[in-house]
Amino acid sequence: MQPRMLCLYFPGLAVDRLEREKPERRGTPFAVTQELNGHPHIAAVNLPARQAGIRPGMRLADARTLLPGLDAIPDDPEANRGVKRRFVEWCNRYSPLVADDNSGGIVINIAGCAHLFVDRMVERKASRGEAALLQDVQARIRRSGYRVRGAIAGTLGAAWALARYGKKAIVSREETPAALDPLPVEALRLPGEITLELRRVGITHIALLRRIPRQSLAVRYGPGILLRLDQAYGNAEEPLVPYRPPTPHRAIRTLAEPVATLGSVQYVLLDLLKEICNRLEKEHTGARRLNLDCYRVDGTVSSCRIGTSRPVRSITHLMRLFQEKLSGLDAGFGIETLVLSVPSFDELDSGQLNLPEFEADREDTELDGFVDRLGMRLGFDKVCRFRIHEDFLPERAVEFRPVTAEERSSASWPAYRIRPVCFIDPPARIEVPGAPLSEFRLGGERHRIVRAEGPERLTAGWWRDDSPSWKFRDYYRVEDDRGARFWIFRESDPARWYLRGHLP
Amino acid sequence: MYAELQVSSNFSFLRGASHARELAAAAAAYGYPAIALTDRNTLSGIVLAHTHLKKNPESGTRFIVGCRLDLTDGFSLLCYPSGREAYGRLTRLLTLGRRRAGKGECSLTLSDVERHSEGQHFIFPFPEVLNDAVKRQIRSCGNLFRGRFHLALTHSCRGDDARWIRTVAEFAGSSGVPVVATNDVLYHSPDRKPLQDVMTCIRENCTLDQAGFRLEANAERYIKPPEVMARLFTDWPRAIEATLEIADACRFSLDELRYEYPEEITGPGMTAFEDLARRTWAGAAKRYPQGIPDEVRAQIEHEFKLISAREYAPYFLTVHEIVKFATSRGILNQGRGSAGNSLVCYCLGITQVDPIKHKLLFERFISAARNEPPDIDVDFEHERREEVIQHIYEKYGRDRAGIASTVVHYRSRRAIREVGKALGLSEDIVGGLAKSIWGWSNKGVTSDSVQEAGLDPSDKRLKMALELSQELIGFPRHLSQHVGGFVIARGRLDELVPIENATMRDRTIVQWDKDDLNELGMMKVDILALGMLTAIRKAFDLIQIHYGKRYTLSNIPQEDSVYAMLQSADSIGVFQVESRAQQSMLPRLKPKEFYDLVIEVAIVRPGPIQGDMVHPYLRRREGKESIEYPSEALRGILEKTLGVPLFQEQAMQIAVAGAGFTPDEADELRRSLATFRHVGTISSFRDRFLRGMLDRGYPEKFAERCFSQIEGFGTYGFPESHAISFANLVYVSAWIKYHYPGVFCAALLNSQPMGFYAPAQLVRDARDHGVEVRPIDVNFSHWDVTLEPAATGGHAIRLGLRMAAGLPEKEGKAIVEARGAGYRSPGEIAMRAGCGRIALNRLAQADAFGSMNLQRRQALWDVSALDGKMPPLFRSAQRHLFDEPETCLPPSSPSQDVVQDYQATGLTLRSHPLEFLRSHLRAQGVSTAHDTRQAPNNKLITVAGLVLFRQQPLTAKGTIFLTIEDETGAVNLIVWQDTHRKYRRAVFTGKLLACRGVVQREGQVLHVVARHIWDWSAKLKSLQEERGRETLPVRSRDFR
Repeated sequence: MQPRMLCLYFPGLAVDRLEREKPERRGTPFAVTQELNGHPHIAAVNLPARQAGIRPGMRLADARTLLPGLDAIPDDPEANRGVKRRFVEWCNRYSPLVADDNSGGIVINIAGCAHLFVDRMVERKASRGEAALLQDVQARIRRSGYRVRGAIAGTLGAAWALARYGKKAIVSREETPAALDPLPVEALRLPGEITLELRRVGITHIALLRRIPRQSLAVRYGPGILLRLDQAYGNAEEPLVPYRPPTPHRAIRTLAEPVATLGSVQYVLLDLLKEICNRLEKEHTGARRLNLDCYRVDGTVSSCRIGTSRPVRSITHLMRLFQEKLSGLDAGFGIETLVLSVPSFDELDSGQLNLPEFEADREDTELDGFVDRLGMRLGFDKVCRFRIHEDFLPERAVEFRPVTAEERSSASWPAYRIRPVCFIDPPARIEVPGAPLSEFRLGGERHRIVRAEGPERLTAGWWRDDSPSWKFRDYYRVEDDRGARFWIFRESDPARWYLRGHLP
Repeated sequence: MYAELQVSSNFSFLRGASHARELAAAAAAYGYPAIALTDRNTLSGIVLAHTHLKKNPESGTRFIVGCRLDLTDGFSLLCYPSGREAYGRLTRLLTLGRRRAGKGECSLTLSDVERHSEGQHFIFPFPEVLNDAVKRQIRSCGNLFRGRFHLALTHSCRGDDARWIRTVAEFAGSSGVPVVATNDVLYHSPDRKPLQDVMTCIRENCTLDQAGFRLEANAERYIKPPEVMARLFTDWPRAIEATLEIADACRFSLDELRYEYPEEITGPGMTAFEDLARRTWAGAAKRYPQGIPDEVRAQIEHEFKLISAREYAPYFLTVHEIVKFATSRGILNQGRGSAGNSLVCYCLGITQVDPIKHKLLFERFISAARNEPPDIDVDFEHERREEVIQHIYEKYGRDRAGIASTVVHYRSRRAIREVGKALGLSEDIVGGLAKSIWGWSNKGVTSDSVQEAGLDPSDKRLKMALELSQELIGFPRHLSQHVGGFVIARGRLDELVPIENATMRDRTIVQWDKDDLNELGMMKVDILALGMLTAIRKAFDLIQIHYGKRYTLSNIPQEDSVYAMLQSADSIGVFQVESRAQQSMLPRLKPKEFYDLVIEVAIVRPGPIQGDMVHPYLRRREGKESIEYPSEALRGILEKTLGVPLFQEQAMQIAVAGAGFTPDEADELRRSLATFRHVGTISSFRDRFLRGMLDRGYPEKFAERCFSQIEGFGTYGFPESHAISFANLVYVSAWIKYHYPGVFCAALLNSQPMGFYAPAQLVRDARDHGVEVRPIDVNFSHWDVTLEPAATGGHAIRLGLRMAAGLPEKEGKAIVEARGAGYRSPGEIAMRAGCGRIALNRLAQADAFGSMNLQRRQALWDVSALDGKMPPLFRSAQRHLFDEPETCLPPSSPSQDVVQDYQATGLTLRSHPLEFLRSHLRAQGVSTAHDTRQAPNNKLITVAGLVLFRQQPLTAKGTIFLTIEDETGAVNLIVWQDTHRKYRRAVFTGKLLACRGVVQREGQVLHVVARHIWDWSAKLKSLQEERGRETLPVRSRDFR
């Protein structure tokens, strides 16, 4: 069958994405910026910015001269690709042959698919087919907040050109030359230097280009220019490499005989885990959640789910987690199919599996296993650990945080900074009579100080909005005549003493 | 008593948070017997601290030269030279480490230190941990430097200080290393802690909230009163005593540095002075061929007296040698600045201005009171200055000659940017704040400009950012290369001062800047570059070739007709007086003689403009205002400028005669205004100045005006001798323009980039003066712009291949060389000149194949079929490619040609782009520039043109000056602030502007005061006709 190519072009993908993310952006001028020669340049703008005279290609600094309040958002090519990929996947509803054209658009081969589409707005015969399909796809994309221009032609090159530069949206094979001829040379997907050179000698349109002897063109600009011409006019093949979505992580075992014992389920599960973990390793990922679905002979499904605090692909680790849950599994009259799937996974650097001789690694994974088992029983938000913050204010320097939220802290704690295990909060006022630290009174009780060390003088974050009124605090470790140790401090201006905690 | 031995100033970039002088002052205030400076791998700050203590001797605090050496072995040592020789070793050590590493870096090992360790005292900084590695380092240093090595003990209030100091001290005791107390100072007062935190963040490229333990826990690292230090080290009295012992042992003072002038330039068998005398008299005989007048003789003798008393003769000889070298190579040069006050310099040919004729005071150059070496600045042709520089390196060697550094300081914009970032302000806010600062201001961000940027000045963080950035302004950021200040010594320069690498290859700089060198009495000569000298030399050469006359800077005759040309503001291309401000001044000032040019040069400067001196002077000159002098004393000073101070000297003399300053103080006042060195001293000068003037019976208003004038001069004023030197070039260039407009234009085009105007305006001006200008052509053009005999007699200009954008010089010159009887096709050029396709393409774009009858498009088409990279053997085979079928390219329209001319050469010899739009513009009621010039005063008109210049002078309070050009000439627009606000976008980005406004005439000067402005840049697109990306590449030059 002759191919029919539908090309979709997104003229404002980044801007549309940003406006969709935060609809309130729509009203205020903003620009997407890209770094060029060390300076941010405007790559795209939204409507209010355009109305204020901001144009792509300007330097951000110049744009700000025009519009001091211009919001500048650095471009995020990854996010743009993500949007495009979602559209590519979504376009599978029209045809299985969909591809990213790698230049801001999508190509779909809709040969043989168009007759399935009817424009529901106007139930007329004319609206069936390609026009209806184009109408449908554009309307749906626009409804999701993205601008799009589509065109259908007999070749990829022609559809690409028409979507960007053309007037007519649907062009038959016979109409192709007439539709392409008046388009600018840029419509031929040529490198920028070549179109620039063509323009310099006055060849601005494809029609003019076609009048030049082919040999003269090839001598000057290489054979690529002829290929592009031929591809657009249908004189050369251009295969479309369709996009295939990544396969989900799933492993299935269908058993010859249904099983009902825990041991045999474990046996099959281990097999499934091996398969999954191998695949995870190849992709440098680790599982965050796993589902085991057991299809029973009575037609019902019994499932168990596990989660981990960080990406894991250790078979023993995962097996242990499953064992916590397997006891709750109801095998009924027997299980005939087991499906293990990984609905959630994250990147995990490659490392070797099952090498217990690495002590440090094992300790780590043992702790992880323990944390995961606790987490599955108590909830991951209930398993916490201390996290150090590099902050001179002692009460801000440690925090109790759920393990799952834990990003490995690089903060180090100097050994000489000794802190009580538990703070008295708020600190208790104490009376310290006399200058040499000889005693303090806490609620009428007198403590005679026999030993003292300090001061540790600390300032607080003077820049913070809630920065305290005092300039610094002097912390002392003191021991009274009964052998009890305290962490007390004196606050500057006004000088006041407080008890902050008990030391071992 | 206690001496502080570990101090980092702000020359330990982004670590120390106080100026060297603040640290010295704090130590002096506490009565420290001595204070050392130990910046990281640098001695940049020591001169500042040394001078401060020397100038304030009351406290008796002595300055100890020191340095912190960060070693690649992973630890640091503080090093203090005990005497002159040890100091020389330290500077050589630093030179070694610096020259070995990249710019701003230093790479030294312990064994390097060991080799330079004789006579040095060392301190090992107080360790925070005492592991085996640290112990090993301390022990090995202890062994290497036995008897002059201490381990520092520092009380930092970290909590366990008593215990930790004991641990370290006990280890030191057991290793036989004595201990010494230091406070590892980072700032002179604890108030600088916030700034120090911010600097840490700038250094670590993080915000305060992210900085964590990279900040200091407390503000203890300041200069503490000695009794506090004694109390902290009650248990370790030896450590306190040791500070005094080390201070006592390190008695080296910068005063011991004896700078000596190079000696090899002196003629054999003569003293330097005898040689200078010989050369001066010989020069005088040449300058005064009619016989040396008595007055001159007396003045030379007078100058000799001072020169010989100060032993400056070798300096004059050194500069004379450099000038002689340049002259022998045909490099045009002229002394500028205060050297013009010296008759000796004039006789030696260093300057071209006769100080007798202009009654210039020699004392402004060398004063008996100031013990400072003179400062001779010489301008050289900008294209050939490098020859002079390399000659100096070659002649004296890199260990004896180096370029002074310039300390690059934080200025407002950068300060607010980096402080704001550290405080975590968003990029937007910081950008907005920085934007609100004009140019190179040091004034910081005012709350007005904060509001203007749309921000709330009462916001706490914003306020902190403003305050801290204010503190940061004036802090050194890094060292850079001075524009041309050379230091040359008799002996090794690297034993006087460390030398390090500059960014530029083959350049080395010393760690001290101009002022430091001055303080220490070290000679330096400024080798400067001046584009106009290049142009004048090229003009002289062309005149000689084509007219057979030889001119030099000193034999140009004074002619009224040249002044008449200048009076009519016909000054495009003329040195200094071509700018728009100067052009509007010329018809008002009406220069009639040379001295008027001197005033013209001096008056259109930010100093006099800010000080409001321009209008009083003009009024007095025109006789509209009577000339009054506030006192007889000032009459003497101000007479030659009609009672209005215009020169730096006059401002200084007012301070002396009017306010009772000593000449020294007046000079210090001038310099304190010009640099950062004396931040904070200005207001005390101001008080003294005002008081002095009031005491002498001058009205307060007058006194205040005088001071603000002096303030303006400090930064932007010219000394009279400098203005005279420049005026000389003004006259010479004007004379060339008047007599040889073609030569003048060619010389300017051959010296680009330089000056105020782009080639398009220069060519246009030449054509307006009746010069025929011929296009670039591969068969006629040379690389440079040349003269060709014109049909009418006279000479026409042939544009050179250099005007073709992107054409490499080598290939351009090869085309000229291999041309012979001429080329018949582009292929022939490729073959005979070995020219690549890219170069030919550039020539085709410049439409340089006219003589082959190839229009631009056809030429491009033909060239694009060539492959210049093909080896010669295959070239004949390539020929048959030209047998390709005839290709018919669409013809280009005249307007497209113009656009492409601009693109490829920056100018066009065809029509002005606006001509194509004229009928359309006329329909819209737009007048031409020509009509505008005829329009009566106050008439409301509309003009349109391409934007040539945009200027927003600092002095103009938001007013913008625009110059637009159409096919009939240029029009100057004035856009007041409110109009500019309204049409901000058009004013800032428009290429083609239309303006409706009122004609304003003042004498011959005409402006249009804008009321409405429209951006018509889009109309330029229509010149292209076809849709495309290219538009007219008009680039305005924007000045601030």
